[in-house]
This record gives sequence, C-alpha cells and structure tokens, in this order.
Amino acid sequence: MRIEARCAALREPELSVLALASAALLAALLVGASTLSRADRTRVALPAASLCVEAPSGSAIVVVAGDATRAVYRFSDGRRPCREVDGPRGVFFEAARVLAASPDKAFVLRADGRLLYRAVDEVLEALRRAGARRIVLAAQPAPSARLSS
Amino acid sequence: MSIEPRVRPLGGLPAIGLADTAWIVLGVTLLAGFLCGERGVMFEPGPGDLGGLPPLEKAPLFVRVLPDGTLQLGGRPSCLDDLVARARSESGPGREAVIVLQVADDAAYEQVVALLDALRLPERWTGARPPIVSLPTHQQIAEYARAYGSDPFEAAAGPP
Repeated sequence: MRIEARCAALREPELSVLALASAALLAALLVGASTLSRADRTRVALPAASLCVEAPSGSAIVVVAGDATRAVYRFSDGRRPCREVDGPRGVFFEAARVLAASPDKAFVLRADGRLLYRAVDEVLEALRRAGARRIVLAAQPAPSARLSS
Repeated sequence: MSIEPRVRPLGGLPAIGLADTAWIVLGVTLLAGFLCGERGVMFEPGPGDLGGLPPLEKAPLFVRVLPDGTLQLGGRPSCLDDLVARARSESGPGREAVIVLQVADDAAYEQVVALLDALRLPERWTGARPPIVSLPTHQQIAEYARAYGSDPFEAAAGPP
C-alpha cells in the first residue's frame, strides 16, 4: 500500500512535466518546420488569382518586394534561404548559375502586387536572358480559387 | 501490489500519449510543407523564348495595358469582354487565338496578374479554345518592332 501511494504521488507530476515538455517541443518544432519548409519567408503582398497552378517542388525563387518607389530583390536556388541580390542584374547572374547546373529549373517569381510593372518586367527580362523556360508568377489564391492541372 | 499500465487502452486500442501526438502532427506538417509548393499563375514560354512574340501568320491580337489598367486592342480602347469576343471569333476548330500583351511601365503588377487570370478562366471559353496569352518583355517588343519596322500595338487590330 505504501509503495502504491508513493507511485501515485510521483506519477502525477511526472505526467504533467511530460505534457508540458511535449507541448513546448511541438510548438518549437512547428515554428522551425514552417520556417524550413520554404526557402523564402519574405513578406510579400502577392496578387490574387482564382486559377492557380502549383510550382514544381524545389523551384528557384525570385522575390521582388517593396512598393512603387523602391524594389528589393532576393534570390534562392530552391535549397538555400533567400538572400538579397543586386537588382535584376543580380537575378540574371544567379539564374544563369542555377540554370547551368539544371537547365530545366523552374522559377517562382514572388513579386509584390503593388509594384509597378517596370520592376517585374526587368526581372522577366533577366530570367529570359539567363535562359529560364518555366516561370510561375506566385499568387495568393482568391477565395474562389481552384487548382489547375 | 499491482502493476498497471500508465495509459489505459481505450476500446481495445492503446491510447496515444501527447508526445506521440506531437510527433505525428510534426510529421504531417513537414510532409505538407514539402508536398505543397508555391501556387500562382503559370507562365509558359515557348521553347527558346520567354513568352515571346508569336509569328505574324498566327494573326495575334495585340493588347496594350495602360497605367490605369484599361486595355487597348490594336491601338483602340477596349475592355475584357471585347477582347474575349474578338479572341473567340479568331479561334476555330484546332486553332486558338493568340493574345500578346504589352504592359505599361507604370501599371500595377497586380492588374497584370488579374488580367492573365481572367483570360484563363475556363468559363469565358465555353465552346471555344482558350487563347494563348503571351507576355513578352519590353526588350522583346522593342526587338520585334525593329524587325518589322512598326509598333504592332499601335496598328489596327491584327498583325501590322
């Protein structure tokens, strides 16, 4: 009886410590997983589209953030995190380097919808000169969005 | 003294602890992260060309997107419905219309994506083949105009 009572007394705190530790671990890992699952976490107000396609896994990412007055350019080869590059010229060099290794690489252009088209056109031209063949203009699925095949 | 399991089976199945649940949720999250890619509007350039200009034999519809988002078809004011009607009339059995967009530098990028999206909606093309939509860069348009000696977006609707 004494042993049982001691076990019961010990069991309760042990269980709540385990629960707390699990919850903390879960929260930490979920945050980490959501960060690692994408190469880019730059906040961009993507334009909306109702008919979307899914970009191929491992696509390179070009980010054009900012507003009508100033654009910031970032690039990721799809494996490493995004880093800032020197405008469309920097995008060209990075894209050319990626395409030299894998010519069929797809590119996702994550451009802010509020930007003037000039900034996007310069990036598209840089990708064209680098030899890109597949580009997805990233969009935020509209409420009635469908996934196109 | 009796030894009891710490977690009692429920309905014959062993109950899952919180730690196990955490690992399952984590696994699902990671899997979803890897499987779900970025979504957007596909830009499908032809071989060797990025959304390049089509040959004149295809009689493309040259559409200019002005800074305020309004459209010009062959140099004349137009709207999405007009453009769709024109593209439907240009398409036929085994043949789709070709729409070439020239977007003003000062137009908002979101207007361009909205237009590309609207032109691809299947509802607009019931009974007709959806058009090929081309979005050449300004550099390509300049090269095209030099090659043909005129600005196709200024000429009357159709090829220059």
